[in-house]
Amino acid sequence: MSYRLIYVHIPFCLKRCNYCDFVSNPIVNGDTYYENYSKYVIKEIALYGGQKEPIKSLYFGGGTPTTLPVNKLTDILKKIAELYVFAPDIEITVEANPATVDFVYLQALKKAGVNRLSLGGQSFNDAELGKMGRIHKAVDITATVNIAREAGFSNIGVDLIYALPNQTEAEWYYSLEQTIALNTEHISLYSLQLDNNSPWGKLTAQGEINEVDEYMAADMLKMAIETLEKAGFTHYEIANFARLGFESRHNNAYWQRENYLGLGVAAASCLENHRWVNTYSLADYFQKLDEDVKPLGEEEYLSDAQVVGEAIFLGLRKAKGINVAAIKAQYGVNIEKRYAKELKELVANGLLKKLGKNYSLTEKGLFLGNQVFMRFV
Amino acid sequence: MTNSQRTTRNFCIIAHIDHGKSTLADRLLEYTGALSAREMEAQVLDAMDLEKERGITIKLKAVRIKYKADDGIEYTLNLIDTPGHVDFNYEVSRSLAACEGALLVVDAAQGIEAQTLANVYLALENDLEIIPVINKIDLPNADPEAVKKQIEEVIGLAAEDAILSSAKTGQGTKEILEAIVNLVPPPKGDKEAPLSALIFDSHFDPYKGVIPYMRVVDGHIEKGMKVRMMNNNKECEVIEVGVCTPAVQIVDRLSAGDVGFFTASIKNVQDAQVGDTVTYVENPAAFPLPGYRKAVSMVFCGLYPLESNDYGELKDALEKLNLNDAALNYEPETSVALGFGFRCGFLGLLHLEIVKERLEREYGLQLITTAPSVNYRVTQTNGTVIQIDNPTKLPNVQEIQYIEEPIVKATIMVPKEFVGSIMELTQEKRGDFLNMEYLSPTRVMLTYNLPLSEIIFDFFDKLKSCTKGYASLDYELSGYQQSDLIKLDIMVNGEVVDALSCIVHKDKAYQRGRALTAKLRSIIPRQMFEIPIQASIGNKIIARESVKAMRKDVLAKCYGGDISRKRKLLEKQKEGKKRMKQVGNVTIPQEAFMAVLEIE
Repeated sequence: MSYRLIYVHIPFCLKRCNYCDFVSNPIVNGDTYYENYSKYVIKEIALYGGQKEPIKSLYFGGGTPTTLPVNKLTDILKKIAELYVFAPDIEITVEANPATVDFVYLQALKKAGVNRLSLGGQSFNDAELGKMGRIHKAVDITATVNIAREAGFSNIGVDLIYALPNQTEAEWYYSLEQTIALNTEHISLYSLQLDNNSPWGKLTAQGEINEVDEYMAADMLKMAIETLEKAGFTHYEIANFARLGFESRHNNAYWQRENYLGLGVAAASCLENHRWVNTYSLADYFQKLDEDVKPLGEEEYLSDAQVVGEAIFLGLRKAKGINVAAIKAQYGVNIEKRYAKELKELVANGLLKKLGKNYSLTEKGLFLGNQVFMRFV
Repeated sequence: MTNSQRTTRNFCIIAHIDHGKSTLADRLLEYTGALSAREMEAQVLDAMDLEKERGITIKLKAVRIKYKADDGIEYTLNLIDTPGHVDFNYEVSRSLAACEGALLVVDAAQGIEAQTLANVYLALENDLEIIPVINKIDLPNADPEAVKKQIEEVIGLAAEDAILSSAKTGQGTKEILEAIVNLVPPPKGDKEAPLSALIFDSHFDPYKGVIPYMRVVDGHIEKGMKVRMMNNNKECEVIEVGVCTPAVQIVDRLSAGDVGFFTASIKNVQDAQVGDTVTYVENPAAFPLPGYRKAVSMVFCGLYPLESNDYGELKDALEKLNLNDAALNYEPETSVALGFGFRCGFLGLLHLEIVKERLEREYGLQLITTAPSVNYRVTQTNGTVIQIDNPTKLPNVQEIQYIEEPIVKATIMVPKEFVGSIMELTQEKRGDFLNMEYLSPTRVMLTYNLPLSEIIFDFFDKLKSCTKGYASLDYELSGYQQSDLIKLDIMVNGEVVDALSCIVHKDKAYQRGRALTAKLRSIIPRQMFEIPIQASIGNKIIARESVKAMRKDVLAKCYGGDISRKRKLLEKQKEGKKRMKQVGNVTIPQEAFMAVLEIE
């Protein structure tokens, strides 16, 4: 049992965006947590030791990883490289906020081995960016892509958010168009979530913000899929689009239920049927590591049935769907027997399509994904 | 008259809900040493948890108390506890028939309420000696003098000697006991005459079967006797005879004037009905005691298991409940929408709620309750008259000559400033004004004829809320009246959902149809296709709403840290769906079937 992926969480941002409920802390100068974070991640890495089996993907996410001075980020990378074997074609991704990186930063990342950049763009409309509380403007997104290219990055992705309060379809189309014009290899689209603990989420609960109409959000997604596919992107997962050969290896592995080790505050890990997260608290993270103890938070052990259920609903997120034989080989379960009724109904209702031993979401099924996934948990 | 009879007093406590009769009963038990203070749990006589929670007494219990009076003689006082709610009038009347006296308990701050009045009249009809007790005089706004005056003016009872009590503090308890001894007449009856005993309550014991509580009027009853229920014609052999002190005490025999119980391995509660007369097979009484009648159901509803597989469990649960609740009627019925279930008859809405809660809580059943309805009398064109307790049984319009609905005479007592609100409310409910009387310069008694169907839902709650809680209500069935009634059907996704049909007055049909469809539209969740919801009368659609089809229900972000949470969310979504009923292609939540209760 070995890990195939490693994830590192950097829980700091200059400012929390209004829609965000991720684990992130504001940076206070001189704050010891911020100053010493990378040292402690390195401590944590040492606790896990390493392994011989090669790692195929390393991902730095957050918060905003790029709020850390670049050398602190690369120190972490170096420590991981020390203890783990990197596959020759390992994908190393860093999430970046356009307002926090310059040429020097990106060049340093590239030099250290980072070969993929995931940019938080969200919108090309400055008014929208302002309302979201983003710390950059639309021009910064373009500028960052340009300098990333100069620094040698040939694998760049941009994230976008739609179904913002009061957003029109035209405004959304504009952001899409501008993003396509950037000529990046990868685009991710996220529908705004308001049912969470973000600043906007709380306002929604108080009735101060109106949830976007379901039908409007559906129209926006439909239009986006059409637009991106027309521009040559492959819609390879519910929210993710890529040019040929540039799918996110790291995320694909999540949907294949491969084992991953999460490092840093709130980072999640999965080893076969064992899932756990690190503590959400910086103080706790530091304290445990001071005591040379793994900074663990909650964990769960899944039943065999739950594991298979996950394999199905995660696999169905991908356009290529799930394969009965592959699942049988990996988990020893014939899902056409166990879920005969569900599969039959979903196909009959036009939510799943069946091609030989392969099942995948239809367009209708994609839009009503939860209704499909619910049948397998 | 025997010595034993001379020193016996049979009495009950009648009062409006919450005026303190149960606390008073506790005080009497405590004072006489029937229970030591240590053993006292507030409101001892309320045996069941549910009753304790609601603070109301449902089952009658009889308690034998020994009291040494000021005259030095030890008296046997039989206290019979009674329910206060209007739903259980018949049981109250039978317990009154078992007594010679009654404590009339009136709240010193609230004064006489409609229920009090109703029960006092019942007691007077039964020739009971009534002892007024003004309770809760410890409260700051207690006004015993005003209440005394009220008792005299409204009931016509001399009240200057009314006992002032506080069941909470115990004040007045001794005076009450002395008054019972001195004012309540001893029971008459001839112990040598043939046995004649009135059943005023019963209780089901898993080992001993149905245990009837009785007042022996004439003769005696003892172990080994073969007895017969005179109205029911059931015979059984007496195994034990006893009293409750409140602990069970077996005795040799009970004679004329005594109150107690007997066991005879009676399997079926219907075999020992409240109001029936017990007599000796070998030397029977000539006539049964007067006043017997079978409990009449006033309110009906359909009870269905949420999961069809639980039908058997529901059936068993109803059978068990029925053992202790002779007033509950039920018979199997089917609904196209809901499958197999039961049509149940109750004494009233409170009775329905209690039964439903017991089924859910004690038997762990998940139920769908259809909206309560009443019994309609339909005269068909061919002359036959049928009773229908289920709207789906209403014949086609062409076959109906006319429909009659049950009417009640309702007595409402309220401070005079709320008379306007009451008049508005009763008009809305198709009420017929009968009378208005001033009980005092500030309190008014209004009498109305109202259709039972209009008051079984939320009338009581509306009454309370438009009168700031000051109104009180009592009603009794007064007959049937012809009305312009029609059946309103609800169609979901093109199919009539029989369980949602209701019978309404023609003038209210449109309003009800619109309100119902709107309510259902907000309750029924979006599904894979658009769902039309229509209200119709016969073939005519009178209201239409639509639940839009679901178009987007998917979580975009699902990465390493999201998977656990996502899985749990999906599990929760699945659980939520399980709690709904599949009716044809449409998933309908349980609450939808009672939706009609929440509108207007």
